[in-house]
Amino acid sequence: MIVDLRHDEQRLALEQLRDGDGVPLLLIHELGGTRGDWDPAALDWEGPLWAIDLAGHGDSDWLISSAYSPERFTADCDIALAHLDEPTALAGAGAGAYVALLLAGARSDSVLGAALFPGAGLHAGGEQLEGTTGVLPLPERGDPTNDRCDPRLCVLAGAPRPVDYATSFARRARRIVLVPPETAAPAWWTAVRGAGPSVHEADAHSALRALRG
Amino acid sequence: MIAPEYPGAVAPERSFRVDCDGIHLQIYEWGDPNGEPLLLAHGLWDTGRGFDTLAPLLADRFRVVAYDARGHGNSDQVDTYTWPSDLRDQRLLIDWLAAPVRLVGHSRGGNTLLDTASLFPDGVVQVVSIDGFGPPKGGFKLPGEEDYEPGDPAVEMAEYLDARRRLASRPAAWRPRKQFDDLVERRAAQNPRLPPGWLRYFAYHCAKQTPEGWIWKVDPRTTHGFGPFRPDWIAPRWRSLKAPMLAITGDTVDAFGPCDDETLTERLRFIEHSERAVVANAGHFVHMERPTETARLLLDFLAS
Repeated sequence: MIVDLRHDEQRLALEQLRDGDGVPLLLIHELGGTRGDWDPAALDWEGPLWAIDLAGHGDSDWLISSAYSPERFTADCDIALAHLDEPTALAGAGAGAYVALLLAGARSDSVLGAALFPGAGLHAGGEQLEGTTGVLPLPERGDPTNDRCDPRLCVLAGAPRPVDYATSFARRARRIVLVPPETAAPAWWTAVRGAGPSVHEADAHSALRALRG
Repeated sequence: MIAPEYPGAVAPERSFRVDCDGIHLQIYEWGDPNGEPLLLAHGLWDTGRGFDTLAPLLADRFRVVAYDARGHGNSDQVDTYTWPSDLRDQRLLIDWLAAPVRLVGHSRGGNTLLDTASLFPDGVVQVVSIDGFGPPKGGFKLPGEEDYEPGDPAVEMAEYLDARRRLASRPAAWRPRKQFDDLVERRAAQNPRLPPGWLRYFAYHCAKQTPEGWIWKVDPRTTHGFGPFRPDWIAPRWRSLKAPMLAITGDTVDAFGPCDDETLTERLRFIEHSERAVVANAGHFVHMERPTETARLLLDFLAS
């Protein structure tokens, strides 16, 4: 079942991948990904599984403005949260992990926790620029010849935040589960790891179990 | 209504729109079209026509190019506004000019140009920011408003998300003003230092008449923010600015600046090559209040 949501004037695609009993899990894909990236059979979760296409990805509208940002993506997911209208858990990959962290901290009244998986765009936001261009490299499938995502997503990282920005969300979140990336973790990830008792680490296979607590 | 005139104000010699990767931006030019380009960027809720008194004073030396930022004036109104999207537009305009370029911006226009020149330094010769160094530590505020107190970013994010949810069900719109003078009066209350004659001239070129009344040619969605923000996050990114920079401020505090001296010094220390100049008897809108003095400073610096 696919639900058409509206955020401002854009359409957002939200799909229920699987029904279930218990707490819904909202899945947020990586940069350049889509809601179809998630394999329901591989997810250890009894409640309903919902997956969103962020703006500029999959079946959601591309922004005319190219004004993509982690905060805008967070607002996309918050519209989905309002639609679900019940306590929900989050799982995000890459840029989606960072978005899940922001949403779990900002909406701790309705988000039970977030599992943060590695993936493309994990460096989205949360870091001061140090002699970099400030433009995130897109994953290969962000190539303009591929219609999975808007190639102009590369403007994403123009407004970086310091690492304590990310930790303020981790401290307010009810539960954060970090899955370590295979390559070097971004500074925000490392800072969040030490943010307090609500933050836990787990491998990819046990992350959702750890999210349930 | 007959277009108002104002002493020293000169309408652009050329006016057209440029396609910036799908977004059409309005361009205004003065001076030799083959001259060295000087790009002017206006502040939030202004337009390129706000340079009508400054640009003619620079046009003997440069091809002066002002533009309406996205969502402002005659440029396209789009779906979302963020800081990075303004940098993207400026980068594309610099590419379009296809020549070494000097950048001059006021307020938000100055601040974004500093960021653009820091992130994309190729082809940028010099940068001038006219009171565009981020808000004072207490935030921009109108008379009577309280200082901004930074809170927890997660709480501010929740407020931003609440606003986005409201916008999902109720699109934003300005309240039209029945008479043109009502619009001018409203702006005068926000910018009391600007001469009434200039405000009428400026408002005429920055507003439009609709069946419901007069409204500013600015997309109301430009006001909806882009999430939590701290003035202290602004300056560190200027560490990568290589082009020489001139900071111009007025000597009189009004609602939108300038920052106090300590704050400005703290922010400018991140810039490798910077100079400062203060224009006497000017508030935040230095170039509108004192175009002759501003032009003299610019021509001296840009000749160096």
